[in-house]
Amino acid sequence: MGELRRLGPQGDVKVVWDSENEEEVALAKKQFDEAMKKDFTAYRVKKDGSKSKKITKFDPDAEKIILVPVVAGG
Amino acid sequence: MATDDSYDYWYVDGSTTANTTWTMWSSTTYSADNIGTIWTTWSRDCDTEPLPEQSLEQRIRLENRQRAMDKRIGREQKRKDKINNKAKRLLMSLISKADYKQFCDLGYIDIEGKSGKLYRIQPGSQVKVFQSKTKLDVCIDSLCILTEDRNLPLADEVIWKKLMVEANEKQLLKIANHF
Repeated sequence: MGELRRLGPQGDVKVVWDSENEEEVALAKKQFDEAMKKDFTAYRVKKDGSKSKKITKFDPDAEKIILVPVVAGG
Repeated sequence: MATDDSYDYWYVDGSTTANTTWTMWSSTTYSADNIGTIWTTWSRDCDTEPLPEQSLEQRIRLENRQRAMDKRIGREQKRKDKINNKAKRLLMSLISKADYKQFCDLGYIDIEGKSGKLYRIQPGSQVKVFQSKTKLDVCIDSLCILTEDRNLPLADEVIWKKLMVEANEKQLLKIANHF
C-alpha cells in the first residue's frame, strides 16, 4: 500500500492506494498533481523514512510520498 | 464607549463612585494624566468602600460566560493537541527510535546531508550546520527557512527540513537565509 501525506496547518492529509487498484492510484495521482500545481515539493521515502528522494512525478510504486508546501528564506 | 457586556466583566460592585469612575474611564481619550487620575480615584474608592454583593443574576451570568469560555478554550486545545499528536506519529514513523528519543529529550535531531555536513534541526529555530558529524564544536552556518504558512505543527517542520537536508540539500542552502 502506498501512502501520500500532504503537510498542512490542520495536520497532514493522508491518502493511501493499492498499486494494483487503478482507481486508488488515479485518486492518489490526482492529489499529487494538484499539490504540484500549488508548488508543493514531493519526496519519496521508504516506509521507515529512509532513502528520501525528491520527485516531480507521481510514483505508484512508492511506499510513501510526503508533500511539502512552498518554503522560503526567513 | 464600553458595551454592557464589557462593563459587566469589568465592573461588578455597583457602587456609585465606581460607576462614575467607569464612565470617566470609558469615555476618556488616552492621556497619561487622565489615566493616572482615574486609576487613583478608582483604587482609593474601592479601598474605602465595601463592595456590595453581586446579585444572583449577575453571578449566574458571569459564571455561565466563564464556563462557555472555558469550553471554547478546551475544544480549541483538544483540536491542536490532536493535530500535534498526528504530526508526532508521522515523525516517529520517519526517523529511528534513537532519533525520536533525542527529539523528545533534547528537542532536535541531527541529519547528515550528502555533502557530509551535519544539520541540527530544532523546530521553531534556525537550522544549525556543522562541518561534519565528528566536528560538532563549531557551528559553521545557521539557516533560516520556513514554509509560507507558518502554522505547521512543530513535528511536521522537523519532517520537511529533514527531507530537504537528505534529498534537496543544495536547494536548502540556496533558499535559506544564512546567519
